[in-house]
Amino acid sequence: MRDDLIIAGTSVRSRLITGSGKYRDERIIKDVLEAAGCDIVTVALRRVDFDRPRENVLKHIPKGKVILPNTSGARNASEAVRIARLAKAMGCGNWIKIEVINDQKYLLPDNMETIRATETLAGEGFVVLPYMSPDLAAARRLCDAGAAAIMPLGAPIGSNRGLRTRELIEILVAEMSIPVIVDAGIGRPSHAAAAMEAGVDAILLNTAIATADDPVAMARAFRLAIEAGRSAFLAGLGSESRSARPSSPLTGFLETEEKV
Amino acid sequence: MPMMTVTINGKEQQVPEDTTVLGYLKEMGIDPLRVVAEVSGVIIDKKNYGGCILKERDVVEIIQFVGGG
Repeated sequence: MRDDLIIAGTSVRSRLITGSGKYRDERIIKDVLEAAGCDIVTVALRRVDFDRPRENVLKHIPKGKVILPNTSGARNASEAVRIARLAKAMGCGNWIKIEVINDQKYLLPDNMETIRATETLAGEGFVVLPYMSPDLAAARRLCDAGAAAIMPLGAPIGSNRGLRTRELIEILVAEMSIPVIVDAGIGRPSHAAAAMEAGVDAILLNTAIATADDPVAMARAFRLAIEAGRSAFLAGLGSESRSARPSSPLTGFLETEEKV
Repeated sequence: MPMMTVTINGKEQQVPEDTTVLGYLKEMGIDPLRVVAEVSGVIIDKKNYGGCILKERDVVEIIQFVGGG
């Protein structure tokens, strides 16, 4: 049976969403996406630099992928809305990752502005995936505002510190009916596997793959870890205990006398 | 050709008075299909780049997709 990730009625196979930023050489992106097996790819919007025109990043993203532009650079809801509308005008679909950040040290999102932007953009027909601090009340408000999924952070962007917000994300997994996608902070395949075991629906990765010595091999490692974690979650993990529970029978030892 | 002042991607500059979005992009060697243009807060439909004539003091943003997370 297929175990697709379904976001706003769109069904995709892969539970690994990858970013296209920070690559030393963008020509590697195509191979990374293939190794990751991913269906959804994030991009950013920036001014064209007329003095040093950059290549179009879409050139490296095969057709058929869902393009998920982000609103990075937005400091409030209205800037996020403006960036989202520009992204849509590019003609690559109506998906948008809302990212509203006004803290430059930790790059933590502003949940309140994110909710406002979600309301506006969902009302305009966008498929809205908001990056958020993992908070149940905010998650519920985002859902009510029309978010297609929520994307709580595991640790600050680019920090590679793993699922530091685990307990809060577990609450979101338990309570939310829309997909929970961990975005930011996942640094190692073991982090990704642990998050999937905890029941999150998908993982969004950029830094951990893009800055690895071998991004293609790392993309494959993350794909395997996410598949493993997902399989474990679906299989139902065994319970934990403080004391030992023998795996072998405690009766029938060779030297014990059978009572007749 | 009389010139006018516009701000394009944050840079104030002089352009000929009948400059269109399409004309400017061509002049700069930019493929119009891979950018989005916003003129004084209004997003311009790609098929209207040729008909969108800039005015004195317009603030123009020419945006593209780049790698991002």
